[in-house]
Amino acid sequence: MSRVQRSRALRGLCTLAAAGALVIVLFPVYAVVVGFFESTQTLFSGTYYWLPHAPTLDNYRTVVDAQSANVLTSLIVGVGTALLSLVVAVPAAYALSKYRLRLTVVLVSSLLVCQIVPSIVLATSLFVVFHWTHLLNSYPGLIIADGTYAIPFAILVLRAFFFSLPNEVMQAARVDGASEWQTFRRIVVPLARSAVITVAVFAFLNGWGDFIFALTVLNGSGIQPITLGIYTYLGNYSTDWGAVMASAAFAMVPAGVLLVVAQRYIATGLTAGSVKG
Amino acid sequence: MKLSMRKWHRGMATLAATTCAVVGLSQVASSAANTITLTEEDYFNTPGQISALAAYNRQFEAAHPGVTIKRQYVPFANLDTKLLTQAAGQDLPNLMAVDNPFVPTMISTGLTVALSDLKGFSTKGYYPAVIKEGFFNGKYYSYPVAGANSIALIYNIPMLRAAHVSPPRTWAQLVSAAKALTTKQHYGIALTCEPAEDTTWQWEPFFWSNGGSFAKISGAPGVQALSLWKQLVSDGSASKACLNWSQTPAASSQFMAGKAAMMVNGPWNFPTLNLQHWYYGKQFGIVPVPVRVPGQHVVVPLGGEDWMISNTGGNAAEQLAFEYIQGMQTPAKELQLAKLFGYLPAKISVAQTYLKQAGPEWKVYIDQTLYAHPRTLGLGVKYPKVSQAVWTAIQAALSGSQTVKGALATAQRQIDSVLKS
Repeated sequence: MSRVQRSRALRGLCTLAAAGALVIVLFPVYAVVVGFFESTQTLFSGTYYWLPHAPTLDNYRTVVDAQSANVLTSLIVGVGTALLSLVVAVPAAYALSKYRLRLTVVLVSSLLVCQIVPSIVLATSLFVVFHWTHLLNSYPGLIIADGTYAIPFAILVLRAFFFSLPNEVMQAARVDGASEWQTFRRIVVPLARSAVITVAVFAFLNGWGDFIFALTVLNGSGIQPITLGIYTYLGNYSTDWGAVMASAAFAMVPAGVLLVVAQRYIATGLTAGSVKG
Repeated sequence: MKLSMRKWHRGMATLAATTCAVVGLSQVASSAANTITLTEEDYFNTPGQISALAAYNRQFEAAHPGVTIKRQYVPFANLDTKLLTQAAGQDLPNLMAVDNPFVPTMISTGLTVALSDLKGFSTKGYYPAVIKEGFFNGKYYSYPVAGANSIALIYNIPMLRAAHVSPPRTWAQLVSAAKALTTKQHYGIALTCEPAEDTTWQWEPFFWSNGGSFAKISGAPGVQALSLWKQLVSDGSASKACLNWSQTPAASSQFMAGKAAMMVNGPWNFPTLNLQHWYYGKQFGIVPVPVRVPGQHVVVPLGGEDWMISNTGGNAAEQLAFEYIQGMQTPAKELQLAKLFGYLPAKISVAQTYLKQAGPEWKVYIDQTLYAHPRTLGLGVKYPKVSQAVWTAIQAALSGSQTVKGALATAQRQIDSVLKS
């Protein structure tokens, strides 16, 4: 076999493997879409139908009124988490990569440690703290809680990216008379665009998909994200799987659209730090 | 460089201050004069339950001007954790509908009110097992929510008729009936063996009726009861997929889809059954859970929730919360709530009236309540851990990873250490 042939065979194998992985990863999404049109009885009948068997829009009707407000809540929380993460993480990551601070090592390692703590442990302590500070039952409370995961992650990713920015760029700006803040705002942030968008998307997904913090921090305030909303249909005495599937399908749409739009930046953002570093 | 660093710091400080201000604004003062809000948490999600509570809340608010009831739904799987978190923050809701196995744990937080200390509390007329769910150290801490529930054997009449089988009363009959009822299209019985509380709960009637006690789970009653389930699975009369099945909706859907001829389940299935044109006496029948030898009493566990009141809300709120749950204990309200919840009334006399009004499908459930056990009897806060040891053993035995005796011996060791602690 010639080298060309071999590499062609290898490429074919890789494509096959990738397609296989894709099928596995996308199957739940497919199942949700099929479930959207199925009745709960059909879902539990013991036979899996690849295409909706006796399609019905009952599930859609069940959830459309009940869950629309929750989707909006999730959007607010997701966007809020993304904004909070950027506001904190972009300057923090810049400072941690470009200034020599005595505490850098301690700070960076504590950011890593932050992510080890299971969220249920954190949720319990946050509940107590939020109770003192009257942050329970509010958007800011939930957004800050979701930020506890999004922010450390964002700082670590951005810091890796900022290392790849040549110091000469900043020095040139300073020579031209820019202040430290101006350099940061006019030069550094625009250069870091794809990295910033990447961490913003991840922070958004963090807030969007959060369940534990929402469950802990919110009490009958009327604020209810879609992740909690889905659980309306999962009970001790009755479970409406069709409605669960329909809510899940609802919840996928905004996040899916966002990911497709941001996809280009995410690819560059994730690799930028490593390649140029 | 130094100067600009200072500027930088100042910028960050402003940012922090702004964040704090925004956060501060979000707190809204909600205490107006002469009004009081009672917060309530539960996991009720069936249409009947939701409408029953909404109607009662409206009625209570109308009778108590200035009072608002704020109901908060919490998913079933998360209410216990949530209540403990709230207890840690000393911020429990005024009213809680607690799943009865969890009641002792809530009492142990020291944050719930002993109802028997309040004026007007009475245990008169209640089924002993129901009212004892909230009994601790000589005091009662709870009243039942809309009554209680339990499980019995529900069977598919046409399938039994086609197989010329009569509803089983003993284990031997159950084994042979399940075998005769297994065809290519359906299994004889749908068991529930997912790794969760409902598996232990499903097994309890077999175990308890046979004279078993969790403190001696590896004894003969336990081995016999688990061997029965094991045999149903190894005969092929029950699907091995039950290792992933919950009682409702997994096992119940198998039954309603005609994939199983029998199931052990509760009266909360009646609305769903009727909705699909399954009617008692025509499509489905009910007998008590079979016993090993004729003459044994059927001892079922009791399900259902109990109202508890937290002491973190102040005296006025406590008193009002007590009035709220007391108002549900009148015979008329009890009947109405039990019907909408799909529960059995918690008082013996009310249950007799209920039987006349609600229909014969309730008879088995109502008759067996007198001999029922609260699950936490003698175990208190330790019940959840004991239950976990039990469902783990059931899973191990049915999946074949351990023998029946081996699985129960492991469970015995775990239960011993739980009971000693």
